[in-house]
Amino acid sequence: MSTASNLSADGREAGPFDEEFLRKLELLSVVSKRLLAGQFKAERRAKKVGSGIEFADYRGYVPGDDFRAVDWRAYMRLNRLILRLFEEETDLPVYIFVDASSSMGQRKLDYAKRVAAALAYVGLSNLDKVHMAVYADGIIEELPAQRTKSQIFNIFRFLNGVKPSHETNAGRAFHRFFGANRRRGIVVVISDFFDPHGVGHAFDVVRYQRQDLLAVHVVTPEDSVPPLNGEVTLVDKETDWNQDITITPGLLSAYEEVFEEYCDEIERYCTLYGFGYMRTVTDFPFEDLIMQVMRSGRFLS
Amino acid sequence: MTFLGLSQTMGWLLAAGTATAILVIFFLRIQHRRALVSSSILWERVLERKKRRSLIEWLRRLLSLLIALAIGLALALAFGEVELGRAGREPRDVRLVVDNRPTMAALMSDGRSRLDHAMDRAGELLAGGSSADRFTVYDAAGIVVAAATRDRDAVREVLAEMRPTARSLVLPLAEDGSETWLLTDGVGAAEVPADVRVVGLYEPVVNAGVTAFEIRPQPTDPYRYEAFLEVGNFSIDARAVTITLRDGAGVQFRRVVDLEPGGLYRNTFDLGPLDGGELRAEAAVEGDGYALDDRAHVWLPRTAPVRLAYVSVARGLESLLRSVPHLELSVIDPSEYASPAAEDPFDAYLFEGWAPPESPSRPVVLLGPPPVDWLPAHLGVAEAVGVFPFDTAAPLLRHVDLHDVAIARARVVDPLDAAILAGDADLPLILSGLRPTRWLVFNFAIADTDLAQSVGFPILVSNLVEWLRGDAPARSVNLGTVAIDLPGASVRDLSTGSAVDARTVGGRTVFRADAPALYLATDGTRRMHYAVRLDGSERSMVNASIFESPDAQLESPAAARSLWPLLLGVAAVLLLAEGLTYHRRITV
Repeated sequence: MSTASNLSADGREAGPFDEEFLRKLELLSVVSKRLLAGQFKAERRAKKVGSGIEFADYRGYVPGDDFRAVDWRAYMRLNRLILRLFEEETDLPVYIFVDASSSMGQRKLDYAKRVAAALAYVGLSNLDKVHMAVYADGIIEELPAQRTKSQIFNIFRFLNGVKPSHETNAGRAFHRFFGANRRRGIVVVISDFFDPHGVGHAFDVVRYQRQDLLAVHVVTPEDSVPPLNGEVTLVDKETDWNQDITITPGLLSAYEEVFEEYCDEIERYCTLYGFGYMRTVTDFPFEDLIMQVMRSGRFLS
Repeated sequence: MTFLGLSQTMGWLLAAGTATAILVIFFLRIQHRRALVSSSILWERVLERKKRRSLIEWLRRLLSLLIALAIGLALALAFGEVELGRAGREPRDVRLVVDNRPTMAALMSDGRSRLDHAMDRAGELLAGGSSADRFTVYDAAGIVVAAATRDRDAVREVLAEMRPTARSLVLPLAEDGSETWLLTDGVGAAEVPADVRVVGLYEPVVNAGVTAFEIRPQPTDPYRYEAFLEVGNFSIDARAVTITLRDGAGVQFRRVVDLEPGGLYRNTFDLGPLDGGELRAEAAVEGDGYALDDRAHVWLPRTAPVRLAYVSVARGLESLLRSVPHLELSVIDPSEYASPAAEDPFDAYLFEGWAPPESPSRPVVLLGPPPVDWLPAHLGVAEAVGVFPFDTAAPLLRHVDLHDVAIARARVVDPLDAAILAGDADLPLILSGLRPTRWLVFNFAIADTDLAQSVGFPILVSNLVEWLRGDAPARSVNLGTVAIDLPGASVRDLSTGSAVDARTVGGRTVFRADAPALYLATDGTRRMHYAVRLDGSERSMVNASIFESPDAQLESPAAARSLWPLLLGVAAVLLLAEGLTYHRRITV
């Protein structure tokens, strides 16, 4: 797929996203609405004292509470001031993080951009506020919240200029991002998760912020089965690490085993804390991935 | 220059060929292709896993684990003070009975005494025992000299202090759960219980010794002495024994006699020509290995008549004094008394009712003296003195009863540090002192009492003369701890002239005498000689052992050995090996 800058049909800049991509987005938007219809409203609900109509809970009155929420019947019965709580319908923000470290390389980064843009488009289509951030060893760039479908082009432009660079330190990036007192929402992290500081450490930051998390693990076929043999010098894309090594079938087999274990570790972490995890290969059509995400119910649920 | 016999051309060709081969090998070396990988995380894990799974690495880790286990085990055992031969055994209660009777001072063939060897064997027992074992040390008399303790150093210190002075061998009563070791030469140890383990330390020794040396007044003249000497050969074969009798002036008698084993030489010597002082008998034999019975001492009292100056106006005692034997009496009127010059013609003075302004240099007795500066200060006069206490143990009052004596008039003096023989501190009637000369004061006049009419008065006068003579035969005491009835006395060894460390315990002066010698004890008023020697029953027993040979009675001590130093050493070596072979990667 071409990553050259193109213009959409209405003449706006589409970034790396070509016409084909835009058509797929429209299709995804329609499909996602259909998937979500009958199950959920476009908005998520938060339990709080508010102006909603659905009763949620009782709690005791404390000075400063709105007298209109006092349950006078309960007061008559119990001689205590008790507040009725209603679920107030409110939209939850979507935070999409794209890993732009050197380990991603152009291929995984492009794939990640498409997935990010597609999820953002689906979110905007459902009237969510979408925050977009690019990170490596910290937050490289951040796009303020976008609210309307027409603002998707801001996201395209934002993503279009992202190049792979720097080492990975997702924990530091998340810590800095959520240090700015963000509202609770859903966090989508699109990355290869090759983080020398530990993926769990980064996810812990998200977990401590009580955010929901969807981890989209992007790998290339070479990541899982390296096309190597014989005498090679392995060079890390991010660091100066290098190692002379003789690649043998046995060694490759061991690598594949380790790779699977590594992915399983991340998935186990997500499962343990109720987070979503999806692994995809760059060869896999991104629109199918989005559909899988939609079906999984982890996104916009 | 040639190389391996090659010509110069061949040499250059060889060099060029070698260089070419090196270059070819250099360029044929394995070339590594660069391969960019997304991350080293996975590859590092792969390499680590591969390393872990390699046989050599597995063996190396196994070796390291075994070494670590060995180190831990060695340290645990070391800190637990594990000992060889102790496994499953309760701590022992060991009682060491060290025979320290005088025969243990006999020398063995290596020149060291039986007691020294006993100490060595006791040391082996201490070292061989478990650290949890408790040791109690008894001397031959059955006295606990080291109470049950695990402190071996304390036991060794006690052992080092032991001397061959015990009088008898008394084994402690058997106790359940304890083991008793007797370290002895077997002399007089015929009845050793079966449960006592005996470490024998006997070797036959050449010995001749003085078994008896006594003096006594001759029946015809109490002031003429004779000595009885008995010397025996206690070696296991016949020996020529040299017998010597000497006094301060030198050798008085010497004779070499051939004595069979157990043979005795007895002789009686007339000591009439000798006038007091130390006498020493010696028995010598070549190779004598037991020195404690080689000599004996006696103290010969002075036998010459006492020259007494009786200075008195009344002269009431003149006739009585003239009847006392061995007394040369000179009666002097006080007006004719003159302070003696350097050559004092008298051995003692008796002043009656009068006292010189200055003290004579000789012993002096004063009967009812007037106040003078060198005597206790006069405080007044007491009338009609009735019953008063008196010291019946004092030599002066021996066999004299003063209970019925009435005194019409007596002087009251301040006794200060003088010894009160009769009366009390408020009214000292008879008292004595040593400064400025040896003096004895009766604080009443003979005429003011009925003392002269009492039956004991002649004995008192006789005792008085003996007191003035100031001499008596030495009392015989045994080796070891000597206790004498002179509290607070100072003791001097006359053989060496040095003072002896003595202390007063329970009203008696106690000092230690480890070898035969003559001691002089003085308490301010009295002087007593003490001849320290072996008890007569022990003098001939040095070879009377129940053991026949030195090898037959040896028993090995327990074999438990403390292993903690070895284990700590092993742990240190293993730690070093671990550090060098694993962490320094010498093995890889």
